[in-house]
Amino acid sequence: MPEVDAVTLDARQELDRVGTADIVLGILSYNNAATIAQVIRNAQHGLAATFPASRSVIVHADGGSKDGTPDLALEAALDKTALVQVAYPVYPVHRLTPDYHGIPGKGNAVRAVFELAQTMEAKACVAMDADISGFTPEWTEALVRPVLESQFDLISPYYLRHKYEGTVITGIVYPLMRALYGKRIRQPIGADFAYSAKLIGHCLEQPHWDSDVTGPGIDAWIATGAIAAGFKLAQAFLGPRTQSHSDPPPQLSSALAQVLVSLFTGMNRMASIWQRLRGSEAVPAFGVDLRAVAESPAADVHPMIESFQLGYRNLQEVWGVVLPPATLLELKKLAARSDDGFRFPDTLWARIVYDFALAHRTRAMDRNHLLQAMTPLYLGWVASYALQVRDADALGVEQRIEALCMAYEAEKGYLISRWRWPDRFNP
Amino acid sequence: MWSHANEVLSNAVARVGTAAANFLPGLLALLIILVFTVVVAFIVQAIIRRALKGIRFDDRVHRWGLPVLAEWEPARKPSALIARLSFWTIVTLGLLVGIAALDANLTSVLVLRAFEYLPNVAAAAMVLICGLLVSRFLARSVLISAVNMQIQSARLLSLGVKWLVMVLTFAMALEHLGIGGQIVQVGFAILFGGIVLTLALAVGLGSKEMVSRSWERQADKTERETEEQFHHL
Repeated sequence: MPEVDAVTLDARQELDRVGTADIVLGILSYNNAATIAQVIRNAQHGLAATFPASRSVIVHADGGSKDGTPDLALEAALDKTALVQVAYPVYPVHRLTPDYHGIPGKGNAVRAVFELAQTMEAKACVAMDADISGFTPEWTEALVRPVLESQFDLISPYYLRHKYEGTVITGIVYPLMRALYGKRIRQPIGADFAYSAKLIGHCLEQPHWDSDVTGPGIDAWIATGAIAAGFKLAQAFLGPRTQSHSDPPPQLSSALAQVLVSLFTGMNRMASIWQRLRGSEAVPAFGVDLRAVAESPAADVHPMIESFQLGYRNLQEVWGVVLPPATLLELKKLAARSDDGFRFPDTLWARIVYDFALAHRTRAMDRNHLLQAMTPLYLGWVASYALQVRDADALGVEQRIEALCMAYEAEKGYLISRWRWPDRFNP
Repeated sequence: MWSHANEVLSNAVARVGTAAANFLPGLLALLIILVFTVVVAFIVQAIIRRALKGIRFDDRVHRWGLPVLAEWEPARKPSALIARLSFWTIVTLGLLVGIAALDANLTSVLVLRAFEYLPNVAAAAMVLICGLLVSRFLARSVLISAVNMQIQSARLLSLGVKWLVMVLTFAMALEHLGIGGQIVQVGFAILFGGIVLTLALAVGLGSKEMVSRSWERQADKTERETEEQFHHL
């Protein structure tokens, strides 16, 4: 896709009116008429109450909403002089497959906010999705204060989620990024991030603003880039995040493929960096840790085990291209187990994720097929995880996730060996 | 009378003898040329195979991500395909040279016909290769999507799609070759129409209850999952 100017001429004229700002809060929307007014009001209220001495501007980046979102945002603004509205470019390809977070072409939206923040010489910038119904003014403080007062460059959100929520992050994104890049960012993909001016300048200098990395996977791309360049990272406890989607979410296999493609493409680009890193270190967290009160609903894992078994019966020829014989043998044993004894070993899961990353790199088959073929394996892991944490409290869940992360870190040598010698090292 | 018959007979024998004497050296030449060509073809094949192995051609094809060639693996490696193609090209050329030694007129007619027919063969081969690749790709797409949609007969669906595309491909290739004429078209129309009608009847009548049960289960499952809030992202 050719690179385009993410900020239009109209937006630049708007900037002349607004001038400079200390804090830029970017709100990204697409058909969010139900929530945009509350988000705009709470954002302006939060910024005025928490940072009264700083000049704050809200940048509303909309992807061509058809439900009147921009008009509602303008109406809801408490201070209309501190609101800039821009329309970021959305291409037909972005609309063909709905993004898992509901903002089509999110990469362009974030880029538009970054360009405006840089032009306004903002010291801190927040980018958040407008699909939230439980947004409180405290969020702005939790995200912005570490950037302004503690000189952190990237603040990642840490939402209050129950133990069965965000299993793609728990089972793949967090342990993989932690093992690869050595930083324990608990929720590296999310909807609300804060950035320093230094990091924004660094991101805008990057040449890879293409759809594979900066589409739905923009968060992971920025986070890995920030780690690789040695920026200071932190997390902010934000409490629960209730999403309000106007469109139905995409199928699990599509959403999983979107997440995986951004992670695997990043792995390819950063191979020389992550191959040198070993172990991981904690990342500072700000705000009140509320993990202990997260309540979980009951979960029926039987359909997921059935999906895994169906995949094992039908997708062996596809998995056989990606996975080594020893792994296929383990899967055979696993497929024969009953629901109660269904346990996906951490080591096996880590190796499977690494093998798929390698197959993505070597183009062992069509990449879309490859990523979609991982869904039954993922569901098998989720079923096993849900069974293991069924009776666990918050501490028990954290211990379970920590054990998984340690398995990823321990198996990193396996990944490096296969990455360097994909033909020779094939256990 | 007898002397005339004797003369005719001896002339016929002489003509056959002369024809045989003219033909046998040509046949011998054909055999020698064929043997020589096969030996040369084997040597060239071995050299090409070794050269491609030396430059790690298969790995490069992998790295370049050429799906057309990569799709043949692991049954046929791209280097093996190229080596075999060169072998058969040399053998075919040798055969044409051999036939020329046998009868120059026959060769020129054969070559003329062969060159006239060559575009049809090339088009048919192209249709076949494309059809095979498309059928493999679609079969895999359907298989993976059906498994992700938790359809129990995913493999059957995938096979059905694969053979539908293959039948279509073969019919198109035969039409290009000019074999069968209208019979192929009519046969294909009957076969294709029959498959579609069978599927429609099976879903519409025989499997009506099964399909409705399947939809109910799916709706139930979706509802249950929504209630349980098992969010993956």
